Amino acid sequence: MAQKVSYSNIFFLVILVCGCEMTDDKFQDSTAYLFSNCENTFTVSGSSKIYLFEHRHNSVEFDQLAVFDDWSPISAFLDCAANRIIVPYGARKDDRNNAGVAIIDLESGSKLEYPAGARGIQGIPLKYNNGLLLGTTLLNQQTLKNNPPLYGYLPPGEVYEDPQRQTYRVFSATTYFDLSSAKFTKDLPIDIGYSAIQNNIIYAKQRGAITAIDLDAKTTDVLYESSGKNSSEAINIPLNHLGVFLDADYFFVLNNYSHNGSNNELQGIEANVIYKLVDSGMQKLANYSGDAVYLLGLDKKIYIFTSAFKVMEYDVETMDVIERTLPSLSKLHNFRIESVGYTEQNFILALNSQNVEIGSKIMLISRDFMHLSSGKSVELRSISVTTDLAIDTTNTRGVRLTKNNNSL
Amino acid sequence: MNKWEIGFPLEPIVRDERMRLYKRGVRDFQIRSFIVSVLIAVFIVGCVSVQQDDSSRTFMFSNDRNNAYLIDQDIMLRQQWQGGDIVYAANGYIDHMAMIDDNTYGINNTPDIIDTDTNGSIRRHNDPDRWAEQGGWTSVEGYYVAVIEPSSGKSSKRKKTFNVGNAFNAQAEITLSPKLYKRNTPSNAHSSQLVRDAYKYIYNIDLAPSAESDWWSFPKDVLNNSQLIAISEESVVRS
Repeated sequence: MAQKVSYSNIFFLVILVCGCEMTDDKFQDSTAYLFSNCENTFTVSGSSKIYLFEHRHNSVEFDQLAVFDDWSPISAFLDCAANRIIVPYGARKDDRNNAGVAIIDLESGSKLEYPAGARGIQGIPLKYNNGLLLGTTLLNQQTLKNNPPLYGYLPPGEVYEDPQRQTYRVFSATTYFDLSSAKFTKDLPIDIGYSAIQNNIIYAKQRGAITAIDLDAKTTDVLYESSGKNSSEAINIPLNHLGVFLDADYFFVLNNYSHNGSNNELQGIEANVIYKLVDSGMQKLANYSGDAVYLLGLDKKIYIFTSAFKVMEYDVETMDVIERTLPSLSKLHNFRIESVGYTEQNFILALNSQNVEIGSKIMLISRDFMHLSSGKSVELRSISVTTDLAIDTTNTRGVRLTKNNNSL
Repeated sequence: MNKWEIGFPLEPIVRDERMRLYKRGVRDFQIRSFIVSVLIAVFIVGCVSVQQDDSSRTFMFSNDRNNAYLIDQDIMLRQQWQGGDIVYAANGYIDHMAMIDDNTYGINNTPDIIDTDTNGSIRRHNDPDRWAEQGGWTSVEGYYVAVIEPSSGKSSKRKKTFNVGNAFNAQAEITLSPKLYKRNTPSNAHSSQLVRDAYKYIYNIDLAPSAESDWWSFPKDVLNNSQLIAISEESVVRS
């Protein structure tokens, strides 16, 4: 009897295992996933192509999974759950009116484009409630008499008069693309430049100010306001600075191209210093050496990448600065760091060559700076590196994305 | 419905382009593809580099250093755009014209670009390099106009300075102009039309007096104006 029970148990176990395996096979047959682990994937896009890569687990080595021809995409990113790449685009070559969102299905390779009409698309996509908030280019006019902005903010010097002496403002709206319905469903009268979103609050670098826009309460707090270039008293944040939002705070550093004076010089502000905006002023945090080419903020740390391939790591809590040298990279002559993305395990460096014949390279460095991958050549300029953690472009540094817990 | 909650019943465009997929383990295919790709790349790079060498130097946008590849760095270091500067972009087939808006620049990384779409609607771009990249322009040149300011205290009119509001007002005057002209305006005339009318509105300067039509003017009509001065490494400080 015991033997019979044992045989029947084995029989049922075999049936169960086969059944499970068949179910797995069926699942795998129905959807072909190119990637093994979403957290290790990253997208590199630029002038004319989109590359999809995946690094190996706990390794800096990486593989190219797909490459797709597309004209000048903006921060293309992988939507792992839906097995697709989302590609906001600002214009198609020779057609200034053509902008929108494209969706590439990774299983079939087909691409669907959802035009935004003549409004244009620009800036950094903000993931928000299974959709994207996108800046537009088309200027809208709003008369101000008895008609204040919905979010209560007017940049200094941005109120104009028409020939009839009526005051108005101009703004380019933010549009919302709903990924579930694949439609543009809302326009918000907010003219955001580069921004981060956290707990339904958009921290935005707008014209003339840094603001916190509460999407639920429809209110705007001005965290910092520029007094304008003509003011002789105030110190302006220099043009061509590198800035990053980290946990709702704005940090910035300067480099050789930064200036806020009338003769391209720095006035009232120092180079090689990490600044933070506090109470409408600039707080000096720490000194560092080198010419900053890229700024990244994540996990309570600021990372400054320099032209000499050094990395300054500033801890926001302990206020310690650690200087790291990347000797292997310093052998790369004529290359500069163009963009930096990151996964949980690695930094992703996009290196651009001054020599157009050489092109660009992608390299990975482990987050502990102990390991460096070999370089992978890509045919790109204006490179954006986008991962599950961060949408990044040449103008925004390491904006950490929240996990779809917002609602609009 | 809130006036900002607008539905957009635009149909998606289906492209039949297919993605090239690279799957691990298909070694033969990869090796052959690699060899073919290398040969093609060598051929293309050889051809393109001859053309790109000169054109890449003509990009003069300064940006937050990460796009330094676009320009000669010496030029960028000494370059400073000012509001109202004229940008001329071309790619060998079509050309385009825009203006710089540097107002409230204290918080922006870069000045903005003001231009029109092909229907004549006015737009503002906050990333000049991205704008140039998207347009596929192989050359982007900067010009300024030496503006003679009216003597102070004589004029009852308030002095107009360049800002996006005044450019917007100029564009509004275009919209109010005779519809026959407006309706038949060639799409590649809208951008220079904005620049020309903005200068008329703000500075009372006609940048294209020799244009064949009093109404239409093309980017090259403005470009040929002798009052335009190229922004070069020697002309950082302008009057």
